Amino acid sequence: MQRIKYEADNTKHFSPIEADLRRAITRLAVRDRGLFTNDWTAQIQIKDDNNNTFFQAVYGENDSISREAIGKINLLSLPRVSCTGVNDRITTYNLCEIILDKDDFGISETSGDLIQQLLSADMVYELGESAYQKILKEYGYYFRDGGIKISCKMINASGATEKRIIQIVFHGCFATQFNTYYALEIFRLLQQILARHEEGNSYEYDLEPLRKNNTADLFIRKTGIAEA
Amino acid sequence: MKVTYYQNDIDPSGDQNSQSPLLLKIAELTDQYGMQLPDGWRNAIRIRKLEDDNPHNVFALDVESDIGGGEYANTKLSMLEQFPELYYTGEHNTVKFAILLDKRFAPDSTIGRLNQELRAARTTAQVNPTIWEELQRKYRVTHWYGGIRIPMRITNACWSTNTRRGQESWDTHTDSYEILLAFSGAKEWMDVYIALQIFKELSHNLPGDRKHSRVSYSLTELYMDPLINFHLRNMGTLIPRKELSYATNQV
Repeated sequence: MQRIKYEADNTKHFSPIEADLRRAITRLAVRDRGLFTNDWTAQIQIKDDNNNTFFQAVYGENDSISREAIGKINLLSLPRVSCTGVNDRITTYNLCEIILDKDDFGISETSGDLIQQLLSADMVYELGESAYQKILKEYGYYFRDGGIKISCKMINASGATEKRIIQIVFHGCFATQFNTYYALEIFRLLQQILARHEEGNSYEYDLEPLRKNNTADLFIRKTGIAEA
Repeated sequence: MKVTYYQNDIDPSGDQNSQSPLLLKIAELTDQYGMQLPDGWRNAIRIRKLEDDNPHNVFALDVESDIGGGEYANTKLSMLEQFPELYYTGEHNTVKFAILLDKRFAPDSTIGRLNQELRAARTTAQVNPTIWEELQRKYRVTHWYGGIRIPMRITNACWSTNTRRGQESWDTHTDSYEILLAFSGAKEWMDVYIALQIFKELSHNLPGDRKHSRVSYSLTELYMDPLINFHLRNMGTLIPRKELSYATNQV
């Protein structure tokens, strides 16, 4: 495993956090190596209320980020997207609606058809990887599982609050839905690490938007991730 | 949800209602994940007693949604019945799948042609869907996950007279069984999840009187597959998450 990128505004504060995170993800990658591909990537970002990233770490098997991981990052950058997977008709519909709503989203004939296929109830289960790849090529968005975005409120020792956004993308698990599991598992690890390093601060996480995605909801219950 | 087949030789006096905890669990799971089962589902369970010459079903339960669906459940079950060496259905490597068919079926022109197609493809997704349909129809085999085989041993204790010593004592007797369980209707990873959850419930409500029995299950072979291993370790299916042992588990 390699650290592909690490950037932080306050390195004195975040370097020990990053070191712990790297160790935890290494352990995870070793433990579950049978399920990871040779190009797996994990990106962790913490942003402020104005969407400025003040902590970012990227890890992976290789020294570059896969196209699919970038596609999930792009999809998560849309404000109303909290989860990238489309595993049932409702999540597919919601995601397509969000994308179609985007003002500057020019729809060409080809990819417009693909999105219509996605929207069509009968096609959800039949759409193969090639269709997702076409959307990725055309728009730079990758619709498959592994991207999660969680809003949280940080309350410091003096009672002041700050809104933060934690965004995690995982790509490179053989079974596509498990990418969401690993993104959530990394989030759980990050929760523990932040709690350990920021003793005076407490966090309240809003998992509700994520729970609208059935797969994410199932994994949230199974990973034991807490709201606060 | 409807029961389409029921057989209970373990507890002949027990009717379908005696399986209500299991049926309720199946109803709960399929209701909870109904969104991922839009075209219906089917679940098939068999418990086979493994006697030397005559392995036979002692318990069978087929359940399906009101709208039917899940047609692969029976194929998955049939695959486990046809291939005693398999502990689960599911194979993404088409060459391995072709080798499996070679071993089981006499070479004829049909299987030869299908095998050729399988060997030419690199992944299951590259195989023409008509090939999978033909394999399902003619040979009752499938590459989909969702069927599991769990060896089971039941040790019964009874108070009996020892004929040699003429004393009364506890005597034990162990029988070998296997549970075959298949679920179909969702995506394959979800089929595995639901199948394992149903097994968990079945293990807690095994038919028959268990007051003087000890039941153990071997999950060793299931742990060998990464996808099923994931569910067993991470999805609260059977054992605590921290437990990474590959050893036999007792539920």
